[in-house]
Amino acid sequence: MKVKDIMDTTPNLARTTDTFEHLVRMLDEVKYRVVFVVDAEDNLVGIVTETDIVKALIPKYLTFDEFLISAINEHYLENKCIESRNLASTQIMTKTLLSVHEDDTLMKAAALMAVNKIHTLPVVKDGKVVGIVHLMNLVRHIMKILRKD
Amino acid sequence: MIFWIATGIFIVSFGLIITERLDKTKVALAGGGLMMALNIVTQHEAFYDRKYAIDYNVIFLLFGMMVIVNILSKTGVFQFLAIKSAKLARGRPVWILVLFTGITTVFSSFLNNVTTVLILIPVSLLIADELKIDPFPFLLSEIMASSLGGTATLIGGPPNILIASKVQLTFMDFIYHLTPAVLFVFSFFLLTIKLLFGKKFRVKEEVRQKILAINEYEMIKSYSLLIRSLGVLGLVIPGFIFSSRIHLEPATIAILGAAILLIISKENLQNVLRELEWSTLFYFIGLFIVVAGVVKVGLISMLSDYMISFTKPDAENMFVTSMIILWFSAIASTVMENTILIASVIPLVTDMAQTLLPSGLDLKLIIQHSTLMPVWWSLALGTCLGGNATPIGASANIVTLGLAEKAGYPISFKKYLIYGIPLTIEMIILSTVYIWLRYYVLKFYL
Repeated sequence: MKVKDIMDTTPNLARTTDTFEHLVRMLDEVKYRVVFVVDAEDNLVGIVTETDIVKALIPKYLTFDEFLISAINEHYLENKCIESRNLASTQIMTKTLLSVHEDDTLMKAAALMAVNKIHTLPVVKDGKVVGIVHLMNLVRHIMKILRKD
Repeated sequence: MIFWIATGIFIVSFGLIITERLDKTKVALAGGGLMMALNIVTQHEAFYDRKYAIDYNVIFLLFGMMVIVNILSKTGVFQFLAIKSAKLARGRPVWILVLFTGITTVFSSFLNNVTTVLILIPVSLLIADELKIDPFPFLLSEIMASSLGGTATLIGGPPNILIASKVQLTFMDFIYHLTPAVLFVFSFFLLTIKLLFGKKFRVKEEVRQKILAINEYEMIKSYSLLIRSLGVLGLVIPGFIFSSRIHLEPATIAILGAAILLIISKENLQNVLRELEWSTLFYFIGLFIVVAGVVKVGLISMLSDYMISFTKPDAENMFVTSMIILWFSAIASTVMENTILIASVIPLVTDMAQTLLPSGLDLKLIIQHSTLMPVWWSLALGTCLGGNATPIGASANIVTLGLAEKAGYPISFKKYLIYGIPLTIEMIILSTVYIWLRYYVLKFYL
């Protein structure tokens, strides 16, 4: 079986110019809680999940020294949300390191997810996003195999 | 022939280390390995010889202190002290800057400089973020204060540990001679920092309240570990102070302290060992063998003869030599790793002293001769403080600028130099005044 046999062909796409606020609204509505970021030529450049949204609000110095987590003031999150409203998606997204081609095997997609501990992969063709494969799609496929057997 | 091969290995290693073309530990180990493989220094000499062997006193003192500091830093006590001082300053930025510069100096006098900035920089970024002020003055003054603190004591950093071991100096020698120098330079540095940045900060009362609202006691992660760690430190520091009276080398005290703390803290040994800076320890091992090679073939004696004919030192008064060592080491440290500089200069000065001072004296009496002591203190001040001038002058600078960039506050090379060079020149001029006044005017050797 190939990736294209199980992928969802309606991935949610955002532009590099889209803002933090726009991404938060999108993520609240989309099926897999993941948005792919594409540039002006529709090439895939990044991925935004709920974790990326939270990370954008956390000051980087807390990752240098976890002791300071309890020193952050109680209104920090609210203030940072307002400040970050117009951040560009390129400042929030994780740059895409992993993707699969629509003709790749399901085993490759499954292995990439398991090894890298991720639940979503963009499916690309000629650099453009043509679909999304989620752990959920894979599990459904596994169920089908078991039923047939 | 063997002279040129050893010199070649030394020059190539030196060049690769200062240009950072290759990791310094890889270079030092390769250089040391070649010196042994080519029999310039035999393995027996490198491991056991009194004159050429790896200085295990340095290696084990560094190792012991790394273990103690690693466990102590898990308690959160350093963050507690930093937040406490910010609250003592009532959230006023200029006073936080002054206090942070002070505690950086104190921390760094017994932690290594990189560990110190790794603790202070995140706290400073947090304070600057909460107060909505530019963190640059904090980062700059903490880099400089970390090197100042590192100069103050025997355990402040590798340069002093190297000098102490090779010149057989005690913890108290450093307290008597370098701590006053650091206090002298520090007081002027603090004044300069306050004048430079004091008026830049304007913070409203309600913003300052955010600092006062932080509960510093939440920083302490384990009171029982803190008590045990401070208990061991309470034995180790007096151990260093009285090391000559109790006839124990600093390395012995550090190793014993580390072992006791490992046992009573119940920390996982593998976790502690994994977090130690092994590359630093192996860098020194390689470096010692490389330097032993050029000492053995006579390169260092040759350079020392040149230095004697150039500076014309007097066995009774080495003021010119002290000044040349101070300014040369300060300038060289602005761009190069200071330990390779110090490891090369120590045998050079030792050789020079053997030529100048009365023959027949024991080596210890020669290297600790009263006329030579200001030269050692000049070397320590120059190498430790010179690195402040540029962003690449010391590891602490590189680490701080890296953290600042990751946190979204990039500091350009140019911006650093604009402040770094004048402040470093000020420190070296003050060191010059200290050396000249204390040893050549007041003749206060102690």
